[in-house]
Amino acid sequence: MSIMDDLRSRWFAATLSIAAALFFTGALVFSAMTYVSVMDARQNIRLASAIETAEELQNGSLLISLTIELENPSRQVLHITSLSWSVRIYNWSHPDGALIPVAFVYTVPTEFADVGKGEVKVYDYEQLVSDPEVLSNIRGFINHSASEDVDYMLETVPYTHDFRVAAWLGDYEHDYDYSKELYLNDMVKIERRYFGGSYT
Amino acid sequence: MRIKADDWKRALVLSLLSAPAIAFMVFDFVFPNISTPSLDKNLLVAFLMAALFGTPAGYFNRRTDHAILTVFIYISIGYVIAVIAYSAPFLFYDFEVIFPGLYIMFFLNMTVIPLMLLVFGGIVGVIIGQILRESYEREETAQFFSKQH
Repeated sequence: MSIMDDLRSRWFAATLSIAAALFFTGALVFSAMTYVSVMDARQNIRLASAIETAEELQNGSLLISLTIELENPSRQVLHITSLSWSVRIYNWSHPDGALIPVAFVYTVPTEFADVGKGEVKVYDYEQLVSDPEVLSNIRGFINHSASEDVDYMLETVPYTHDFRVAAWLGDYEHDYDYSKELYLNDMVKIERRYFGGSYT
Repeated sequence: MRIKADDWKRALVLSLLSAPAIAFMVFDFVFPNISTPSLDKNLLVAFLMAALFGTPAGYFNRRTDHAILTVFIYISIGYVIAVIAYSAPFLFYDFEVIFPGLYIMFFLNMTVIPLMLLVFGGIVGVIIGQILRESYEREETAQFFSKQH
């Protein structure tokens, strides 16, 4: 008896086997397409269009701001877990390459901070720097630069903006039990950074 | 063991019934967080599923050696399909390889234990399938003779 006759005569078991085969074929294709979509998101989600501004107010304070876009062209929703923005001045002429902190904002967003499929989210940060100690550090840097024949004003100091965003793709975060499964979270974790004018 | 062309055909057709489940389970074992429905790396469930999908090989094969050969064939085909699914973003789309250095080694490393479990589960499934077949045939014979008298 050939296999086809056998399948026909045992039609009930054959039908169950064929149905299971079709189900798992569908599940495999769907899962592989999800995998493709995750790879797409990893490759194409990016920060863009950063605009940095620094303005000296009449009372001598400094208003510093950053506007930046997070583009999500993928088919995955992005659940933002942390956002941070800091502004510093790198004093390279100092032997230790000293840092002068200017502004810092860190936020742990709520569920409302999700970035939907194909959405572009604009982050707008602004901070008023009026702390006399911070302002005196900046002025110290300006004076120090002037002694090295580099002239800066409060508005033209080379402020280094550091913006970081961390997020999970969809609901694929894995509650791992041991270190061998760390790759699962690495695969669906998105971390992007804008630092000193470049995007990574 | 002599295998005729008809036996190969039978093994191939039965492999088409069981290989998709094996492919899915292997893929799911590597990426349980993105696959649907996921077995969540549960080896007991994987073993039971392997036994279930080994059943057709035993049920539709009269000879045990042919049935076990079918198990090896469908696991090989399933594994190859799983590797293709694992490579889908890089084979069919222009994406960067996520683990470039140990791309295939990573897959082998992750799936070597479930692979052995799938073979063992398949052989157990063959035994279950043959018991079911014998039981079915016994019942069929009994019904045939009860009609005769």
